[in-house]
Amino acid sequence: MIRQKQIKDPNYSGPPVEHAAISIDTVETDKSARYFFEFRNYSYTAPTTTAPADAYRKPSQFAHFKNVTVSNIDFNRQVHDIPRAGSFIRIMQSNLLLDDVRASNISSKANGAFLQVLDTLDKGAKVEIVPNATSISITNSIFSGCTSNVGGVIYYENKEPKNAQSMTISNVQFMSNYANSSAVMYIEAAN
Amino acid sequence: MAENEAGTDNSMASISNNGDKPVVFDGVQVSKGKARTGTNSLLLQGTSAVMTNMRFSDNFATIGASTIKFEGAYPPEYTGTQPSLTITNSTFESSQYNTLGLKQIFGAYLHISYSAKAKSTDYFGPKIMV
Repeated sequence: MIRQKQIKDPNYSGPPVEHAAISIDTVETDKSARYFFEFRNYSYTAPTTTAPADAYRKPSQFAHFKNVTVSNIDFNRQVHDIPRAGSFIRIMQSNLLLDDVRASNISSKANGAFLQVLDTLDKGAKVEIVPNATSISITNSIFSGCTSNVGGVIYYENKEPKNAQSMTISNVQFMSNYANSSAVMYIEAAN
Repeated sequence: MAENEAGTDNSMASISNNGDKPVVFDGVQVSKGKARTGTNSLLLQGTSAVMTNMRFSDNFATIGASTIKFEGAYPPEYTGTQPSLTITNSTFESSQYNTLGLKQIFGAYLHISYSAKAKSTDYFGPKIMV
């Protein structure tokens, strides 16, 4: 069963946003596709050939998850005998706010069962890197029973030096998570 | 964090950061982590970290450091900022095997201003400040 409600949050009180924040208030699922949510470039609008680097950047855009409970997702799908393991959220060059999240028993043979952060989504993709494009805030949340290959809950690999990054985790509990390596989180960042 | 388990290394996290900004930890409790066939709760590779009010307890590693492994990444001729680790007002207790381990240190240093209840520590490498 998949039941998902995505709304514009009328009570959003975080940083000012130029565009509507995303709030997920109900997620119930026992099966999902490779990635439940994916954000590409959710911190800026597409560049033009004539605009200076900072002209198109809108750092006040955030993907905002608040009061989310998600449990019992197995991402270990096989498609035509090819493993298609994924994560609950994958982002590239995006600003992400997670607040009051309860995530339990999320399983993946990939890296980061709950969250994958990458500098490019596809190997070999020609993506223009913009500066200051990635930030993550996780507050008031609990992650338990998440299982993956590397980084049981979070896998963060963003080695683009021009992409200034930050990640803040406050008042968060990680309990009984498992990975082949780095049971809670794996972070490889450029700065 | 409690009862997190790695099949090999790092029951808490692995952090590698090429920048000069230290990773900041404050008030984190890490207990009953298990590195099943390897080392560490936390692996810091070429990464500076500042820790305050930490509590590591009952963590397990099969080999090496049970709690923190701090690896310098830069050779001696590197003239930039070397990684450093500062731990203040924190406790390490009841961990199996060495609490802290340093490896491949080339000028990186460790600074512990206060650490209580450390049952077993093993520091090796140059330029260590305690």
